[in-house]
Amino acid sequence: MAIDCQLAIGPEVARPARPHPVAPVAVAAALAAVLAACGPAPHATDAAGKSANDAALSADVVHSWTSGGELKAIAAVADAFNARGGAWHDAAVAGFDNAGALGINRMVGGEPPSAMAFVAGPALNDLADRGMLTPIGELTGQRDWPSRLPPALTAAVSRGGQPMAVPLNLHEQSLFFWSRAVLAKAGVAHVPANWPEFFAALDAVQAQGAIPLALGGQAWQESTLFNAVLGTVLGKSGYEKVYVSRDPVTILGPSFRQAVEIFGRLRRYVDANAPGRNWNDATQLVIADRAALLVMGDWALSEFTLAAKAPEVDFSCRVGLHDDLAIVGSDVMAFPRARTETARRAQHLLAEVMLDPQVQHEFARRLGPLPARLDAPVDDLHPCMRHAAGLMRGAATAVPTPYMTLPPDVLGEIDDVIGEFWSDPSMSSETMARRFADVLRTAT
Amino acid sequence: MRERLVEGLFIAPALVLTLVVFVGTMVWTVGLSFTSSRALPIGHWVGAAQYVRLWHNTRWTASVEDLAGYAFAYVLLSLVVGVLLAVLLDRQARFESAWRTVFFYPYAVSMVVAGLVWQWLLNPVVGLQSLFGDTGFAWLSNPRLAIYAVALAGSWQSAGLVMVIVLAALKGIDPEIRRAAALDGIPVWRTYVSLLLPQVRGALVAATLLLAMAAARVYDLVVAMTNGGPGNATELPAKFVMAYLFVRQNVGLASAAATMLLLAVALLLTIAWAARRAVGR
Repeated sequence: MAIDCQLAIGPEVARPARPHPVAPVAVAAALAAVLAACGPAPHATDAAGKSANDAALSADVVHSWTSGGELKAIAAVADAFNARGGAWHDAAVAGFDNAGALGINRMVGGEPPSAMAFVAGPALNDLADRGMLTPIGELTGQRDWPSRLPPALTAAVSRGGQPMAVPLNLHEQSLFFWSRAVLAKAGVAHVPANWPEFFAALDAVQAQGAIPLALGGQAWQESTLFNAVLGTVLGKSGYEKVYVSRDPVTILGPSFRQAVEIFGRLRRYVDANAPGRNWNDATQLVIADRAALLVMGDWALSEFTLAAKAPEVDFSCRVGLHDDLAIVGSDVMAFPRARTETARRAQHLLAEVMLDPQVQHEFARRLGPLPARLDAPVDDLHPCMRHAAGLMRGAATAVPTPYMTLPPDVLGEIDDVIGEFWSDPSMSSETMARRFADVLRTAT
Repeated sequence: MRERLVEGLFIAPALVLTLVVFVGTMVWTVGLSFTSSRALPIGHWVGAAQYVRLWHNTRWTASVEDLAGYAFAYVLLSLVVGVLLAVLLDRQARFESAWRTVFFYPYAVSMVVAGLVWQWLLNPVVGLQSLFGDTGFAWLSNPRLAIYAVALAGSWQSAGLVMVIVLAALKGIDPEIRRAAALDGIPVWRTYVSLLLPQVRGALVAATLLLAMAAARVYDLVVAMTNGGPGNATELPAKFVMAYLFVRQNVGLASAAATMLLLAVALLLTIAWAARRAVGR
């Protein structure tokens, strides 16, 4: 209901006619309650607490892997945990943001989950700095695992040299998916590998009547596209100067401006129906050969697999336009401070299971990305990911996603700048670059 | 004395609830807005720094502008359509109660449903745009017009409420006045504009206040219809608060924004209170 009649029509109803003796007591009680609660009410069962009497080590895990394929993937971890004497209680929440809000609320309310999914990066910092997360070194005797990860990833999950979360996988977030049928119909013989070929191909597709670029008009998808363009134009060192060292000279320089202008040029290749479209609907446009190109993370691969599309026959995937630079992010598990010894033992077992290269491999095989551990096998992954693995695992050919380097509020403000520029063709690339630099400069 | 104690006991639960849930959390939120809280509601005192940052944030200023555009269009459109419907039904229309139900019905629909329905109607590919050819209905992909498309959907939902309030007030007017006006040969439109509508100004003020309050806290409609896009063309303050509270991990900034909203609503209530006194009811 949109309108609260009671509040607006009769405010005098709610007002007591004269002071009541009960009021001071109520005020004191109210203040005490507010001060004591210090956060939203906890809910759900404290599976870790209950397990004191259980033989099995019970653990509840907050995550947002809720689609069909994702559920199968996380089940690989749950099965391994249960097989080693644990009892997995799934606390899945639909929607990444919702899962994060629920997990943090439970931690603040004093009923923390055993483990909670995050993406690697500064989103963990606030919790880690307040001592609300258990350093992984306290949970497992394994000492060598941080050296078996890409160094940038180890750095992104560590505070003061201590890993605060277990990385589960590596996501590639700048894959170019080309529909071979649409390209062929437009007379484009091979997949574009530089900007002149790229624009010639999109023009040919447009002239032929198909959608050149399948885009979901949501902030994070527009940012994904922008970052892919930025990586292609600036290369590794330029990209890292923007998102890692936040160098204003680079951001206000000519290459960044060129990337912004190329991004702006892409507006004309998107159909009118894009605003608000979900990523999987955008993916379907390429799968159904109605659009030529999709720029998306590796999670889109599962949609192609589900539709029985053959790589390099029905579609081609490239890591960035030039197929030479990977933008890599990671899903991680953090372990909030537990209050009982049993709960800590459950977390110990969870951490061991999640660090196991075989478990990581199985999780990645079902979900789509790479395992986080460099010593986990990748032979039977999707051909597209086997190809990407070489770039993603090489220090000289991979850059971190902004999630790995920027705190969530700054990341959101960067999304805002990119989204505003995308929807406002009258904004100059100069204004965009200046606002982009301002956000990074004023951020703490 | 005993009577007062019993009275107090009856009121106590509601009073405690009001104080804890409404006043308590309000005070807490205002307090948080002066801290550097990020993911967790714990932080150092930073004075008005969050408010400075808030008013330098382009998404916030855009949200405030969008809300102004929305509120103006939504309140005006709902009032005009609602009053027109009320007047039409007041003319002893046939099947009056059936019409009343039809026009009031959208109000029974939640804002989320209203938003989805209008999102489909205004969809540039499968909506009105494709039905009537290129008739300029592609409002949702136009950053300048998108907020008015949202206001249109909101008014569709709320006009029925205005109609019911005004119609009830019109029915309460002494029929002698209409008869006298008809006898004097005053045209119908003149009778309404100069005689009848001024008599129901209390109802009009109440309806306007209801609409203004609804506009100030609109959230679900936008989330369902545009989710703030295209760009930030339909971002609203309430969405800003939710984003910084739950996604962008800046509780301090979110609290500052929430406090600004609280001030706006308090201002509205004060104006309404003054208006009601002026109208004399």
